[in-house]
Amino acid sequence: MNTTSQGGTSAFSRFVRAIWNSGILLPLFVLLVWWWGSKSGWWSAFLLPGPARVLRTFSSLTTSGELFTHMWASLLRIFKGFSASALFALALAFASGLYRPLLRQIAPLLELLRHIPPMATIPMLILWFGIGEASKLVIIVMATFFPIYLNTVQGISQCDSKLLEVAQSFGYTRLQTLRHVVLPSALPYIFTGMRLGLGYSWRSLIAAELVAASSGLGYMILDAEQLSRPDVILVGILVIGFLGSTIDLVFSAATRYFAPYGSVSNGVA
Amino acid sequence: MAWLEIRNLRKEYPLEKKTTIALDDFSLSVEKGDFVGIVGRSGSGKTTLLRLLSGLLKRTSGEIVYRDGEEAKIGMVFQEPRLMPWLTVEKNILFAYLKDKKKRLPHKQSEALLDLLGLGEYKNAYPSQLSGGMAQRVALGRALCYEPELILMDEPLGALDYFTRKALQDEILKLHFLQKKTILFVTHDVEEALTLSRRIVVLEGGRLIREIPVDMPYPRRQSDPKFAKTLDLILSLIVGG
Repeated sequence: MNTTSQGGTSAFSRFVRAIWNSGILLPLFVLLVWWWGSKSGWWSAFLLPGPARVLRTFSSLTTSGELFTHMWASLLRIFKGFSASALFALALAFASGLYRPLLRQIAPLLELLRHIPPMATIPMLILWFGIGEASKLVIIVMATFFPIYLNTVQGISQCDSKLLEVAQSFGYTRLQTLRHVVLPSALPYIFTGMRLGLGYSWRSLIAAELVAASSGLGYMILDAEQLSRPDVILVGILVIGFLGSTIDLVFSAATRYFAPYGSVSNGVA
Repeated sequence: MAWLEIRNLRKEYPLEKKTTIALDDFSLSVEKGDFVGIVGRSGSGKTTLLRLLSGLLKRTSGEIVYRDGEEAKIGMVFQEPRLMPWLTVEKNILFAYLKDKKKRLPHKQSEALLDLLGLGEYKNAYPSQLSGGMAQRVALGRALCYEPELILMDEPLGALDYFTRKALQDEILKLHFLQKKTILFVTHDVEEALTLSRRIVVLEGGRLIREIPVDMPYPRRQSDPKFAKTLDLILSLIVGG
């Protein structure tokens, strides 16, 4: 009897500890306050509709397929913009990380560009690229380039010179050293930069879809603003949050798989 | 001519507006299968000598000549293990071969070395999971797996505790006898040099001040009067400068 009771107690305490450690309590509490506050009329339903109404809107947008159309349009933009940015940032980071004179030449210009919010460039981008997809992609590229570039450069420059000497002592060429020492050493930084960049790409999505878009989650939110539909706005916001964190989880898993030997807690952004 | 002839080797480093001489007019003959201990104070040029031999540094002047005219295959063991954190123990041992994708990795050789160094169980472990002594064993295995004709050891046991150090000294001797490797071994510890080497070279201020043959059978005991006498001689040379 004692054993069962002890086993039961320990299983319960394990369950409580698992709930506590999962970090789900605060979101549940927020949801509860949101639901209770809406139900009790603590605020106007126009300013913040209750969770039930948001859920109903989510359901109707899903059933009609409208949400998926916007999600797909945004995901495609993020994918294209992020891929172009990652390719460009990685190529430039490796070139400048391995060839210091190039870094010295481009550093001041990049430092200047880094502080310009992508939204500030929208009028110029429309002039240069028109109101099509190109200007939207450029905004995403501008938002995601720097975290990837800066973290990769840092990863390359922090490669332990002692490990480079080991490669040299075994007759590795420059290219072989790059492939077998520099790249694996920089990989945790590259993944961190990409994770940060991906987060920034979602942040820049609204700005990108401000430019005469006819689809996308950002467009859906802006359109809902015009139509005074806060429930649709909330669905858009929550879907962006959900998609962003799901992709981030995939990136975290990839980092653990491809670079289990190192982690970079705070990247450079 | 000996298997390896080092002639009038000199290394200068520019230091602000001056030039520092790290190694000056250093000459030494080394035969295959020799075990040469190199001792001296910090800054006496020991590490510079090994780095010049390994090609990590360029010499200012002098010659490094091998009897057969070709460069020897050199394996280097550093003071710290310097293992690649992203590679397993086995891949670290095979590191010298990873650069060439076309060549097949000598797994049999690495397996044999893992067993010889008592690392068989840790084949798939990562460096972060190893103790200091085990990591240094892996570094030793990495140098041996390369099948070098010459092994350069730069204070490889300097950072280890007494017991691990003694155990690894035995292993280095075992490898020296089993594989007939030529070893140049830099150490701060004169007793360690006497325990391991067949010859000891004393460096001071970048110059070779004395070459002492160690004519004692292995395993060497510190209680041996000859051991104590040679130790006193080397210490007096280093302290006397």
